[in-house]
Amino acid sequence: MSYLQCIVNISFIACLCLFNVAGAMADDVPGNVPEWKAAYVPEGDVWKYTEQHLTFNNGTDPETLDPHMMTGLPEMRLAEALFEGLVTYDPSDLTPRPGVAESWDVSDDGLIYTFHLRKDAKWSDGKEVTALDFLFSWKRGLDPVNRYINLFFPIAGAKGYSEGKLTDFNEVGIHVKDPQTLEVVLHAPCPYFLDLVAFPTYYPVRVELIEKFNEKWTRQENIIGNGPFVLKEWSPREQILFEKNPYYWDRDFVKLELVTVLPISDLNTAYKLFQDDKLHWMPALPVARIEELKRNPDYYVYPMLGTYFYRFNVTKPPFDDVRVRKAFCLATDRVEICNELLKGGEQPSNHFCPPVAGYEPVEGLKHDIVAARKLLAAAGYGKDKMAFPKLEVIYNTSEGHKMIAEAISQQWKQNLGIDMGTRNMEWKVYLDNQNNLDYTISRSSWIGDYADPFTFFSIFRTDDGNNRTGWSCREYDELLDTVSVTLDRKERNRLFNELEKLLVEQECPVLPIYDYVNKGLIKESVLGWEANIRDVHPLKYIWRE
Amino acid sequence: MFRYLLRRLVFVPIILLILITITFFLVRMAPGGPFSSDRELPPGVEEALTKRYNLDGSVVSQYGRYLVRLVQGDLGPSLKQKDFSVNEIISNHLPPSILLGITALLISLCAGVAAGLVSALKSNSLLDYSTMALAVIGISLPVFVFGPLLQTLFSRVFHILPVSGYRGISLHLILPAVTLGLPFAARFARLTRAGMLDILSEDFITTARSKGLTERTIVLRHALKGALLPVVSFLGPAIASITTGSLVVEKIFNIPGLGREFVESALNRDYFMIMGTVILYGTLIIICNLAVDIVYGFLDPRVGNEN
Amino acid sequence: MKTKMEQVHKSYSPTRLAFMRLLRHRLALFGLFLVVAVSAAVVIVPVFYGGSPKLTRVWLGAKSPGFTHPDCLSKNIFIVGTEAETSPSLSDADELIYQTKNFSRQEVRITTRRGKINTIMFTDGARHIEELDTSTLKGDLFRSNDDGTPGEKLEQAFVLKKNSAPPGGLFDEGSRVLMMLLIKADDEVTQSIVTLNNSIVTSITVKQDNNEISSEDLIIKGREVISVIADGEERRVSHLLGTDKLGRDLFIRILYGGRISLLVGIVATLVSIVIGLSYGAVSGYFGGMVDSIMMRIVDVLYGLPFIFLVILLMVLFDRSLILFFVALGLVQWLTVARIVRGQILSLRESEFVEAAKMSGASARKIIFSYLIPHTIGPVIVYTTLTIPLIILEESFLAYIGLGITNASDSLGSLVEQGVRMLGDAGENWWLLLCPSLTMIFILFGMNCLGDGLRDSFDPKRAL
Repeated sequence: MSYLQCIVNISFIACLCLFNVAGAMADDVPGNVPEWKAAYVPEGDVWKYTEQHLTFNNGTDPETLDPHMMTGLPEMRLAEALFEGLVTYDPSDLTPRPGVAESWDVSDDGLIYTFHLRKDAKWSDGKEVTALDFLFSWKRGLDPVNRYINLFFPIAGAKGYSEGKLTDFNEVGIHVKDPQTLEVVLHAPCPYFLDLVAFPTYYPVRVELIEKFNEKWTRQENIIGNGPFVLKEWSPREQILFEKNPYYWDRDFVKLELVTVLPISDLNTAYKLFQDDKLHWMPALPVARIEELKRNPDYYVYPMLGTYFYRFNVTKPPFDDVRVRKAFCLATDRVEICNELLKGGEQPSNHFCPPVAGYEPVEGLKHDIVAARKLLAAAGYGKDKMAFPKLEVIYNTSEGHKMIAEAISQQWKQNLGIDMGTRNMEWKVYLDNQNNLDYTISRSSWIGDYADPFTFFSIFRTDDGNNRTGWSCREYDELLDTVSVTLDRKERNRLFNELEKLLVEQECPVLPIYDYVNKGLIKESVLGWEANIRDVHPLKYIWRE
Repeated sequence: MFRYLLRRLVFVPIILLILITITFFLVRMAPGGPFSSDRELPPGVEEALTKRYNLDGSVVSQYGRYLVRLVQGDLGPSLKQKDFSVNEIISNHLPPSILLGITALLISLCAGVAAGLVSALKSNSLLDYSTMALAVIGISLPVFVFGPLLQTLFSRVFHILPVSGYRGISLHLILPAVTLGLPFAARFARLTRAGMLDILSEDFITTARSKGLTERTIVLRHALKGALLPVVSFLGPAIASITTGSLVVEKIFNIPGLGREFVESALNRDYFMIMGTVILYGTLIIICNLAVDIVYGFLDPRVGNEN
Repeated sequence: MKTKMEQVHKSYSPTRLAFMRLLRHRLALFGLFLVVAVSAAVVIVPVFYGGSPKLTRVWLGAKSPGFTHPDCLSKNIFIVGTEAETSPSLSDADELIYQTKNFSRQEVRITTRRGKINTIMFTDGARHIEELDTSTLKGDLFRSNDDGTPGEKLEQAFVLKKNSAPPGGLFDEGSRVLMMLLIKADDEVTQSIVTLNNSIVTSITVKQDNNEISSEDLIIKGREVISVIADGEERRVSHLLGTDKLGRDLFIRILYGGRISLLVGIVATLVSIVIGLSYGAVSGYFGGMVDSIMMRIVDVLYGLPFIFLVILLMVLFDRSLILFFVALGLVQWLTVARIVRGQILSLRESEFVEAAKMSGASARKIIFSYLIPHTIGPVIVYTTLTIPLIILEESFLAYIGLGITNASDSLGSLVEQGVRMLGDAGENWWLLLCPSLTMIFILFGMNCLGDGLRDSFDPKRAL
């Protein structure tokens, strides 16, 4: 071969290689992803020959798709697909990761956050996402119809503006420096602020759309979002369809082409569909059949950031006496409830806040029947003394709550000799009774909004709307004030321990029962789905093989 | 007949108005409101929401405002399904409910009447006893027992029918319609059998027989009309019961119907949705009762225009 | 055409004739028998059978009919000088011996994905680990049978590591999940001897490893009990129809559930009768304008989606059991009113009413003493046909979560729980079958009886 021919051959081969590589690039996920994302890049080619269509059961038709009007997890799952905030959650450990903002700086005093938006972030109609979009969206989020408005309150002036005390929005700590830079000023350092920024309340929306269409702006023909998917169809109560967003900045990374969301509330029916391979993921299960479900290889269970507990009404006898409350706590055998009744992996707990962000809960009061009886006698109840009044545990109607309430009241009967009735209440009536302190013991639960113990302890501040026990402790409030300005993680955890000791060992306005777990079924073919304590599973990272 | 109809029709709006008023004030009395939730509302949010949804002011003024919008055809926003108005929800979910209800009714009528006929003609035989026994089981167990059992049997064991879902007139409709119609089929069977046996012992049947008419003509032409009278008179309550039965069936088979709205709107304190469903069902039932009375009039020439 | 019997006994009252006709109606008699049998059972049997529908034995879980276990409670508490707190049937014993074995049981769940180990988890607390070396585990490892009992014992010589292939033979053919039980049991059986005097504990001795220790208090956990011996006799409890998820005896729950359902049916029907009877009687008696208006109101109310109003009432008056009955009764009274009115209308022209009027009896007396007794027939028929309806309505309300609370569950609730717990392979079948059969008996019986009564009271319709 002559020299020229060699060059031609080599060039030809080089071109071929280039074409192949280019062709592969169009299908392949970009190779240069940051390390934390690398786990979500499929290995090999099997996924390319699998239909990238996921069907899952959301359990209910969403109340709304407007990120500022939603309150429930099913709605937020959908919002996560349609919109993207400045910051997103890491699918496995929930660390704040870049979303629309590709980087951010925090000032030394923790008061000023500067977000640098990426230039290629676009809405699903092709328009660019800019810092102004966030400014207007957050302004709308401060309209008092937003139920999660308090998540904005760390921002300077936000609370005042929402209450009408501040009339000039420019005085609120949200400033647009340039189309790609957003500066946020807080009134006090907030260690979990980035967690909040990833929350749906902070998502950007197209405010001019809302003004034009009002509540119809979320219809499939109107809605515009900046997330990895667009809304293809919303047939209420039938199904919701998502399609990959062709304008999304990270579209090459998104592997799913189509997502079907079903709103089936009868979980037995959903399970039948799952067995028929018509459903790939069920985040909620018919728990009455837990024993059977555990033997299904697709069953999963992981700890979740939530706690199941009973509230005492501390304003009325007999539970105004701390000894009686402690006696009931000591007389409850949580291990029996979790390991023999529920059998779903729930973790029996004598503490209030589950382990999160490095926080280790306190020991709490351990099950001790003899000590319980002594306390009760000391409080003046028992044989030859005051008879215990006939009272009730209330819970909102649900088979699970009923089982637990009946089992626990039988425990109290055997261990303390006290006959507590149990009564189910319709949801709204139950809420009403709790709010008006018109109850004796009430079943409750609390799910954390962000990965920091503060979300659990803050609700027992005096007169907090979520307190609902009538309990008030100045020492507790003061500790809360201290911890909300403490940034050092170790010191925070120490303070949280103090708070918890007050809550579950000394004063006991609550009776902790167990830490929540997340149970569900997911098919072998679904990958990129990670378990985490907030049950957040962004569809962006999921694919099928 | 026409005058009778007119007289009845005049009452319809009055009845509806009474219905609306009673319901409006009744739902406001229930504890809890549409906005209460597990998470306490931050201060100020409740007032803002109340104002946004026209729920501020005294109950009487709200009532007035509601009536004003009602005559314009606006049933208000849904407080629970925030992105839709009540009008839209009803127009989205009414067709499946109607289709389901009518299919269930038709299936149960045909199956029930046929079973009752056969039983009556072969009365006191094994066939009669077993059919009647099945019929009584049909009215002895609640609907939520039959649904999942039929689902398991026909979808999981035999794989011939879909588990759930709604696709208009299709295989998907069969299981829910059968489940919903089962108690009614049972009742129709019993009523038809009793009515048939009654008629067959009447004098005019003996006359027809002695005239030499075939059994078939006797049964179909002469006896059936009279035998169906009790069936028809039960149709009114049947239609009303189907609305409650449909809640269960719609839930189990994931049909996007209005039956669920019926109960869930009450449980959610979705005031405008409650009003909407009450008005809708009230109208439907009144019209159905009227229709039934007319059919009854055709079937039984002895029935006059006014009882 | 009157039957021969009627021709002979034409002096008998209509009620007596109806009764005689009823006796010849076989199906109705069968229905009557069912109703009486079941009602008697639910009223009388609990008195003798003992036990409470609320007594939980959580460690048992749902067990099939015929299951037996030692006679003990979840916690058996003995404190010297106080009354023994244990199973009531043991309270008259003088000496109780409990044989217990301390044991702990952990469930381990392994799954594979595409041939490689995917998750290794201790189910309690959902604790996931990356690697499990079975030789380091304290206790014995068994396969777990489908019903949760230990199966084949496994050699603890293998290591399970995430993302590597499992040892051969461990997983069943084609199965991706393996459930194992890690059981740590003491070798020794502990014997606890409690002496009693009139139920008061006089002494407690615990024998373990040839040591005898006296004690002032003792708490024995039901799940650890191997046997209970009272005065030399071994005591076991047997569950005729099995237990539910909380270990509650199903038979006793059905009996109490039947009581509740029947009570609800009867009271609600009575409510509807009282209201409907008075209303219909007044309307029928006065006739004319009064009747027109009253019946128009009935027509109006007939068109209301009543069950919806019931739901509203349940929600409004959530606390009141009485209002529950009233609400259910309210759905039905219209039918009674119409029936009664029809009867009264046809009766008020008869001679004995004229006579009563002329002798100066007040309207009230005429209505209540003369007319209403003649409506008894249809009303009785109505009763037997309405009670089943009420029971079904109550089941529906329980299904949507508005059923009666506090008291033990009604039959409808039990049926609903049974449906929910039914597994694909028919697991927990007894929780559905037994309450359903009971419900069928009651409703079947009532319906047949009602049919028979209706035929008996109406001479034209007699078979």
